[in-house]
Amino acid sequence: MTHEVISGSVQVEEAVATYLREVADNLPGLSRNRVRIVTELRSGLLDAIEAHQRSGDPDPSEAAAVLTDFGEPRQVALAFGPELATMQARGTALILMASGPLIGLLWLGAALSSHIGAHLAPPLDWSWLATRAHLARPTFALVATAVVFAAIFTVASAAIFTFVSTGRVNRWISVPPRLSAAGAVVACLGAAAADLSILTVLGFQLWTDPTRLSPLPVAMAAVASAARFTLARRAAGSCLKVRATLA
Amino acid sequence: MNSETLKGHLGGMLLAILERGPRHGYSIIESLRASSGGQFDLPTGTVYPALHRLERAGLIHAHWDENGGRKRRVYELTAAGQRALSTERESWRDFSAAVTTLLTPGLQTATS
Repeated sequence: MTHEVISGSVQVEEAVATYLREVADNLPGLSRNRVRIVTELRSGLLDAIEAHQRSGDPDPSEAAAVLTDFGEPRQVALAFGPELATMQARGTALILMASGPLIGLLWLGAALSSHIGAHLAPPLDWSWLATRAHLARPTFALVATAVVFAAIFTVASAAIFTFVSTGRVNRWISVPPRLSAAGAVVACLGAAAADLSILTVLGFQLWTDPTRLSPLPVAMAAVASAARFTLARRAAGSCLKVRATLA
Repeated sequence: MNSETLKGHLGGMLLAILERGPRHGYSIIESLRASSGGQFDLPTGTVYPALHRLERAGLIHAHWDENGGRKRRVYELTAAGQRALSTERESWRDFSAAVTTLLTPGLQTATS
């Protein structure tokens, strides 16, 4: 595409805006990252055009040449793809690493406040060990607890890998952005699985013996897990989309 | 010069330009052009992703600066960037010396 700059600052601004819109339309990832990049490119373009005009080259076609010189909008956007994918993966990993312990503490608080000194609430309810007669409950509790801990391990290791691989380690080794994005997807899916498992355990507990639960702490933990489940699923989809734009 | 050839060395060249002091995107691109006598003709838009990559690696630091109603990102070299530049210079010296020896007629036999 050619960028026709006719004359005067309004036309130049319009041509720049059209160019940047094309870049923005092709930039993958989160909108806040895209806005930051477009703001930077805008100042770079206007600086370049002004420098041409100051050097006594008021020919409008020269301003258009600056846009052409900048590169095809689609190509410029593609060049940002790996960086945007890496930034998104890193941000996602950071949020998961921060929210994980917080949600863990909420569940621990819910467990302790429900049955301090007696039977712990999910996922720490091991009372089934003493009541072997109720086979359905122990099997369910065992499987659910195993799933929760496996998911927590997956989230932690994938999030740490993603965070490390998108940081300063790149001074020495270049980690492919697709790999980091995949790490973020795994971490998100692990978080969603952990939340879903623990909410299922809670549902089972509510169904079988709701009186053992302390309502407020359990409700707070459940809301936090439900919110993270929704956000983690969305983040996984978003990271997958960005990853798909990389060659 | 071919832009693909340049891309492998872009990081080092950007660090070298920022060694002269903090600069914003357009100023860096202009310095790159001027320092190479117009030889390095990369599509301008590809320089910005390279700057972001160096920033993430902690080799340069960026901050927003507003002047005349225009927001610009100003980049400067970090201590780690200075060390990386020294390493880059050393390896480039070794590499270019080896290539010069190989490509210069007569030089290879003279040194062996």
